[in-house]
Amino acid sequence: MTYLLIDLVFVAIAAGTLAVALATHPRRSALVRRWWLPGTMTGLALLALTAGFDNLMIAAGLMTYSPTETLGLRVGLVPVEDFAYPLAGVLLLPALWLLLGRAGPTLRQLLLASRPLSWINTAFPFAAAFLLGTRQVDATLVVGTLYFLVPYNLALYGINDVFDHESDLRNPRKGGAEGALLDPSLHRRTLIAAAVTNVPFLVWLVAVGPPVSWLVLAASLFALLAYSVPGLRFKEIPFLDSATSSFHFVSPALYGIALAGTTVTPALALLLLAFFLWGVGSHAFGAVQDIGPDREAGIASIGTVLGAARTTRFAIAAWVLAAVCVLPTPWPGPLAALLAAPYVLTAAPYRSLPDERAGEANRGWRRFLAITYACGFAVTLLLIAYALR
Amino acid sequence: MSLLYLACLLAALAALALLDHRFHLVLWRAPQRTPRPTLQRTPPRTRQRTPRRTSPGTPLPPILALAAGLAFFLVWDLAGIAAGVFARGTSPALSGLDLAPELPVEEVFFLLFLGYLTLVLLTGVRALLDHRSRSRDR
Repeated sequence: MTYLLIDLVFVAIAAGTLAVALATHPRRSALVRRWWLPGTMTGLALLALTAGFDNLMIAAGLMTYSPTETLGLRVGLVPVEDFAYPLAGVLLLPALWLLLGRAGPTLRQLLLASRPLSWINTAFPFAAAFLLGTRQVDATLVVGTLYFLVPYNLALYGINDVFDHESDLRNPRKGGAEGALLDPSLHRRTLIAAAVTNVPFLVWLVAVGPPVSWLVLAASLFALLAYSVPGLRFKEIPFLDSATSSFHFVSPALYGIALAGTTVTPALALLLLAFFLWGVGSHAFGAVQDIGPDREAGIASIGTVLGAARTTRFAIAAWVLAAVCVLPTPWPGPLAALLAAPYVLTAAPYRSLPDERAGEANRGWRRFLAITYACGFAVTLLLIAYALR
Repeated sequence: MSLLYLACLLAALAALALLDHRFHLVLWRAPQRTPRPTLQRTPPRTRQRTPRRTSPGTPLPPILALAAGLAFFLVWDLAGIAAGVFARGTSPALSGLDLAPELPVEEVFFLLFLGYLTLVLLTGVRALLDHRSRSRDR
């Protein structure tokens, strides 16, 4: 009986979703007229395919069923309850497509707000740190990686965009791949979307993690909020802005370590420190190009305080220091020091940039983004070499 | 332990993608001929600044529908596994990689296939009916 009861719950959810999608559709009768026949035929075809292929899959020993939890009615080898899957599919998927299609323009904005180019920068540190600790693929790895891939970034950049709207309006760089310009009408929806996508993942992660990981996760989320929410606005406090921004990328790695229960050796601590310094330098260099717009909007940053030339030099110093930090780590760790070179070379031409021409640093910033993908690849190879040692 | 089942699923997914691509069904859906009048109620001029789009043809809604459908089916599977209804088989065609107890990695691809197949069938049947009525009119 258990299987039948579970089926009823999920088929009801699917049917309910379709009912909502149809009930809220402006041209319902035209829609139903056009799609009832394809829908019915799809449902029948799926049931027939299930009868065929499910038999093959069960015969091949891909899955087994409990005799006590199923009704016992079978089509060949297939328990009748299995047919609820294709039934729910034909109800749910078209409904989801309809609902999401109507939300299309909003979704596109939210997607842009989450900075797809940066997804990997938070998901990778988590996945690498967690995987090196546990050395196995499991559900928590998948859930955590998905979390740091999209919802975390939607919260990080979405919240930032909502509270930054003033200065973003004056910044020609925002509105494309490098950063979205969020329409004010979307502000409330962005905050709701960030909350709705974050909470389920956080509930899972807290449920499976040890207490230490809760602390790290809390610190990570605090940094995420503190960067841009009114009252804290760490992004407007010079130096704390670079440190907080760097922590946005280091904390997923820290969390992966805490979640996997890995012991932090001195070498691992040095690696994390190097990563942190790299992030500090990167944020500082990124701030150079925004000095003009930020000053106009009355926003303070490491760039507006130090000026273009000194901020660039600060970034170069941070990257060099990061390279020094990896030197004492076990082989092949020291090789990572070489990765500082392309960054230093990219920023070096701007070391004496006058503030009026700070916008020119954008060229260097674009190269920075490309270098980071290449260096990310190199770091991955180093991690694999380390893991196989 | 082998990659046989996983390879079969990937081949099936690739076959669906080929059909999808050839007949512009789901992810490669052609722009619909009937205009959608309610989409742009306000003329774009009056807006302060229209945010640029990455590429107008990005098939975001069907991708998200497939992702949400996959999540739905995975939760269903986990409920069944937790209740002890079904379990992973011992077939040598399975890779042996499990995402959770009794949940082989192949199941993700199977459920994705089920969702994608549903949408390809649905739009494919509609396209077939349209094609037939057009050739009848001629």
